[in-house]
Amino acid sequence: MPVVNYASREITCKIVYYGPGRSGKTSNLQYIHRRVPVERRGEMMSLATHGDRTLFFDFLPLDLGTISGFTTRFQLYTVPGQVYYRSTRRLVLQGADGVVFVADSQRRQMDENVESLRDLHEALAEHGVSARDVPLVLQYNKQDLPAELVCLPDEMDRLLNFRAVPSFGADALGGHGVFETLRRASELVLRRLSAPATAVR
Amino acid sequence: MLDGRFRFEGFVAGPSNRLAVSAARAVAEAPGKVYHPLFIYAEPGLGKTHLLAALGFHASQVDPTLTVAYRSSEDYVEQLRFASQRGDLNAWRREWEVIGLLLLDDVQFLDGEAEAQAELLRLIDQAQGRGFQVVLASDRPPADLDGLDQRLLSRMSGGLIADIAAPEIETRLGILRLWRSARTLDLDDAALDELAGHEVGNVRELLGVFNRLVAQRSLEPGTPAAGAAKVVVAQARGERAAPDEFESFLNELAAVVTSSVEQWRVRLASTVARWAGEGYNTQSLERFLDGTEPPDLDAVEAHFAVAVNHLRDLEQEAARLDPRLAGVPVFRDPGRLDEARSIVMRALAAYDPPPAPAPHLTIRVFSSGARNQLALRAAGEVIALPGSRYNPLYIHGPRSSGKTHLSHAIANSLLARDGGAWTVAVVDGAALGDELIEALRTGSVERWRMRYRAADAIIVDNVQRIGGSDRLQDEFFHLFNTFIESGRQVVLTADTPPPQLTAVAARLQSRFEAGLVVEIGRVSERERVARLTPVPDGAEAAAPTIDAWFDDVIEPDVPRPAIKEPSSPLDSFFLDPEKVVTNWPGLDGRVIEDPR
Repeated sequence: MPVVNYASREITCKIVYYGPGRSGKTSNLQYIHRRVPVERRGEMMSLATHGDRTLFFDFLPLDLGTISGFTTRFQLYTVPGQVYYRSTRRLVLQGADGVVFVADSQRRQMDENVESLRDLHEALAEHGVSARDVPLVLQYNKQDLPAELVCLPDEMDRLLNFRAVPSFGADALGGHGVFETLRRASELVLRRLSAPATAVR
Repeated sequence: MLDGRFRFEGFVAGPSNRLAVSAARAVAEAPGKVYHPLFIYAEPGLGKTHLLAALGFHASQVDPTLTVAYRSSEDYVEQLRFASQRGDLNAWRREWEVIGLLLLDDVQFLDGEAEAQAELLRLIDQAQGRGFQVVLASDRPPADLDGLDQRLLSRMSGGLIADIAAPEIETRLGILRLWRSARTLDLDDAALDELAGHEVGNVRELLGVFNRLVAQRSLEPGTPAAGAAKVVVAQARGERAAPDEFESFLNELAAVVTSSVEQWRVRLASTVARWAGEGYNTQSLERFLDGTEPPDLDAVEAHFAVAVNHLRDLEQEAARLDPRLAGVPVFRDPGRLDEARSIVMRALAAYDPPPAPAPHLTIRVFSSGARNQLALRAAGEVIALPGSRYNPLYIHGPRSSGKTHLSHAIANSLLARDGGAWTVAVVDGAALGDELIEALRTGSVERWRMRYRAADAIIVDNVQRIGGSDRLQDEFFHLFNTFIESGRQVVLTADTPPPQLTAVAARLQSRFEAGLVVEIGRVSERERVARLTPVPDGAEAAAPTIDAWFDDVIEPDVPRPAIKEPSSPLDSFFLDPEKVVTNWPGLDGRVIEDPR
């Protein structure tokens, strides 16, 4: 998927929200969906199982209008976090220009975070892409929970962010950190406009 | 009118509003005796109007004889204006003399209302003298009220100024409990605590969250209220986030895009979009976008623009010649400029062909001799292989040496090629200049160019006559090059060899010499006699001609082209008006001419 088409003056970015089940990926998209003016957002498509776990994936198309003369569209996807939807995650990840890894800040969920992050690296490798070549941002969600239950961002960084990529504490339900995360991920993707295409193939 | 629903009992006091509530109560219980005037200000939705109404209601309860008047500033101004227009201002003033308590809401709207301000000032001053109470409410303190008379502002500040701030958590909880009891709802304290924990800017916002929770509970009555409250609060927080959060996101993205995209690509893409929008094929521009290095943008864009302008001219000309050619796709593709030009030239050739040779000046009737053998042989080569052997063929010689005849003869022979499909332009140098002047005058130079460029070959007789006009020489230079570069034949005649064309530019002279320069000598007396000899017809043609006889006798070793069988019964002699008399004079008028 071309990130930028100079001839038609279009920029299209696909950003995938990755992470373990119930970490808050869909909440991120739902918050963005609420904040974006109606005329700029497409219908958010989400297939959910009973209990609101993402079964297949969420898709939120955003028409950001004309930015610097380019018609700019973002496509935000989430993957199903549950372990058994491995092949679906691979499919959704295909063609991603950037990845937001949404980690659950709860201490008891740390193993799931690590497992999901490892799964992300494997999925990227299967697409023939090195994790260090894809714009990646970490989001430590659920920071609004009582302090005794969650790891603070610094601790999350020590546990997960061994590549020292940008990271943000967040409360996706309340919106804190949601746009900061998307903004940074978008920036990393857009900064590569003049570089050779590196989307996940 | 006072809204009787609003009472002190329904107004939850807390740290954020305690002073205002206390002052209102004090004023209600003793109007005109404690704070005069009382000025209450607060952001919208924090209870100003509620407090004014509660004050008025309570005052009327304390003293039923008290006349209480509640006015919004708009009403106050409107009534005053009406009275003033009616000329009944004094009656309107008398109405206020019986009022014991005036509650004037939203005084910020008195901005610019000079008459209303003056009346209010008069009322406040009078009230101080007779125990009349004025209570004012606004969305800002007096010091921030613009457009109000300074004396009025001074009076407003002279009593008590009390503000109402956004409710803090205790007040919010008190309000929520009040609403719960008023609507007998099944909401536990935990749910209310959750809602109260949500910071709001005003009470209406809190009411919105409360109503949303109530609605949510009505849909899912079995779910825990506290959990639902948490979701509702989370949603409200999301919606109440900075309204420009998305715009801020967009602005930052714009900065990133601007700094990330290569500006030369942006500019080129913009050019592509502009021309594509006008319907032009932009492939020749787009291929630069696939490259890694920026091209010379100025040159690329200028070249494209020139090509487009040329295409526009061509299309206009084509449509004039043949309306069916308007809108043909080739006129929207700068990459097919040559093709477009060719279409127009063909249309022009069909519509307005270039001047053709005189049909009677053929090789067959061209008198050959030693003086023109080389020229004649070169002409034969040109006719056999136009554009590839001698190009240009430059024939020079004195006047009446037969240059014109030979050049027309070449043209006529070329015209007969390929079943008559050829177009050969034959023009005198002077005529070429006249045509260009006319084209310049009528603004049809391009058409003039294309008319000649459409030809398969061009023959310019007396090319020395283009000298003297720089513009004509420029045009002819390009025309000449067009023919030579495209392999089309050029034949030129002149009275001198190229180096002696003193009036013609050197760049043309040198190009004339690049082909074959041949000379035709002066016509000899013997040849002149031969030219006058009729060509025999029928059986007589089989006999040796006088031309051949002369040639064989005088120059027996000079090779000559074979004489073709004549198809016309007349020799050039009979075509020469000087030699033929069709209306013979009477006998007395006849003279015997010297047969020369």
